[in-house]
Amino acid sequence: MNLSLLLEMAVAGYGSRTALGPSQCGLSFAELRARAAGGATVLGDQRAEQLVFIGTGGPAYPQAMFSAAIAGVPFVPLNYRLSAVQIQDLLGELGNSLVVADSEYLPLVGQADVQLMSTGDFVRVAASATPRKGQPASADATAVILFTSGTTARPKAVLLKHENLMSYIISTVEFGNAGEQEAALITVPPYHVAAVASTLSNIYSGRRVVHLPDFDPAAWLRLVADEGVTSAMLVPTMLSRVVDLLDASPADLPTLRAIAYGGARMPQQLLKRALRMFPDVGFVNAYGLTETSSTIAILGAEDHREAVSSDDPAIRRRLGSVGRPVPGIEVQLRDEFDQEVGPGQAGALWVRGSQVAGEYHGQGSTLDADGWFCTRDRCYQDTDGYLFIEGRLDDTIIRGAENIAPAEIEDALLSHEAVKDVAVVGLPDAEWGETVCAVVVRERGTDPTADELKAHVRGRLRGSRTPDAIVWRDVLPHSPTGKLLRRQLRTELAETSTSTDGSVDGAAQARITPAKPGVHDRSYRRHPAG
Amino acid sequence: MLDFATPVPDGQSPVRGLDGGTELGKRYTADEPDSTLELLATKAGQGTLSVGGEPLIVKIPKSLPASD
Repeated sequence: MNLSLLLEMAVAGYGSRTALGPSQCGLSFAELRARAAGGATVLGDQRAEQLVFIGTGGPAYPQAMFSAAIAGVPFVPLNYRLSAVQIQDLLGELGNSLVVADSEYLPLVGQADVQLMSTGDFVRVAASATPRKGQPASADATAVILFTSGTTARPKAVLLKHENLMSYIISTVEFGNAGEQEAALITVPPYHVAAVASTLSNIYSGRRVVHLPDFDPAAWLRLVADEGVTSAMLVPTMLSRVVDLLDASPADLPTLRAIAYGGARMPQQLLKRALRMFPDVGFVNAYGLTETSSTIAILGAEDHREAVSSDDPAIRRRLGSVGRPVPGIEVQLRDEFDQEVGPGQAGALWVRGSQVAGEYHGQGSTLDADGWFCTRDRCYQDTDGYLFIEGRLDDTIIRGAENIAPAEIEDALLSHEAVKDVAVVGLPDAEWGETVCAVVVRERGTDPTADELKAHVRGRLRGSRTPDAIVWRDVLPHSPTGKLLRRQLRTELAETSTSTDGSVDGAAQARITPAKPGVHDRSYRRHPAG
Repeated sequence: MLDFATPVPDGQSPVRGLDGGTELGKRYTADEPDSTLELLATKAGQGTLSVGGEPLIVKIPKSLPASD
């Protein structure tokens, strides 16, 4: 079992079709395979144990992915927005690698003990190298390694085996089903499981792929028009920006037939706006995790249409669901004692199937004795099998498509002399899904400003970890045993409101747009690295 | 039948009745209700896939929306 089989089949079935880039002058499937095989030779010559990729989306990405597959070594795309220290730390964990990095990211590698090539050089050398035949991978060889932030600050390396990814593709994609006029637009970053999955599924469908490395809604609209894009995958914040732009300056996108979304909770108002704005486009919600090789449940276009037009409230509610499990996936809802819950009850969502990897580097498998994996999402299932994600079992905040651990920010704030106690929670937000709110108890006699505390956090952590809002309290709610009652705090805060950039200073109570009551639709959650 | 690694000798052709061809990328299943057998053809060829002499049939694909 090797991912390269997918590309071999594509070449045999439709080798001369365009795989990447513009339809007239892009790279064909046959050319992609030839270049990937050349890249595998480069890997062999360097005796690399993995191919680390630090670059943006583009034709080099699938080429590098398949070079690694053909050479029988793991492919490891890293988040190019990480700091040099973080990159070198991850490289240290990986060992003998060939790092292929876009020129602007070469300096991030510093003095790390790896072999280093720019993306341009890798592509150039691969083009003239003797193409290498695929190596049969061992039964449980790792194909792709993706880093996820999970619930603690330190990223974990998720190991996706060839068999996990192949199983996902073969179970959910029909070979060669894309028409020649179809084109997919990928904007999701290369280190996200969605980018890996769409690369593989588009090759196996025969669908041409166009990349947009730096998302910008105007550029997205232009590319859709210029390239005749028929399907696109977007995270909710990107969809929001596209919808806002089209509101302001309407444009026709006659070729667009399908929009798939995921990566974070989809605010229902945004979804309804988008459905109205694109009446001829099929919307698909894809729910999955890095650890499950991406999608494990789908709410299809027909499901969306039915939910919007139904008189039955039970069917209408499905617009906020993540749909039904994909073929090959079994689901189970369990209580805190690991017993299956009764009908209509919520529980932790456990899943089982060949695409479920559930293994981290250095930790082995996290599957239970019967092969079940816990998604750590709280979920319930209606009588027709539709899954509704209510939230996380733990306290991870999901802002945009990023996982943020409250503990990291709380630690940073507690290191400030004026902070006596703090709780960081996620608050519902129409645009971001959640925003980060720090509830601070000040030391007696101190008077820090919100900006001061934000700057303090920014100095210690990445920009995206800076709280969006600071709220002052005299005391935080605790249980009799001293446990912080986060859920209660979240409820209290959601009932008041705050402006998204502000702080609540004494009497100046700014307002957050209150969340819509009802199901918290964490429609899709994957774990982007970093 | 040949072992996977054995090169195919020249001049061979499939047995008559089992020469209907196998299509790349198609799935095949046994021609009986609730068959649990499913094969995916990763390479096309002239031969017909069969079990116990009974040719397999093409499995109609379930249509799933592209989610990627």
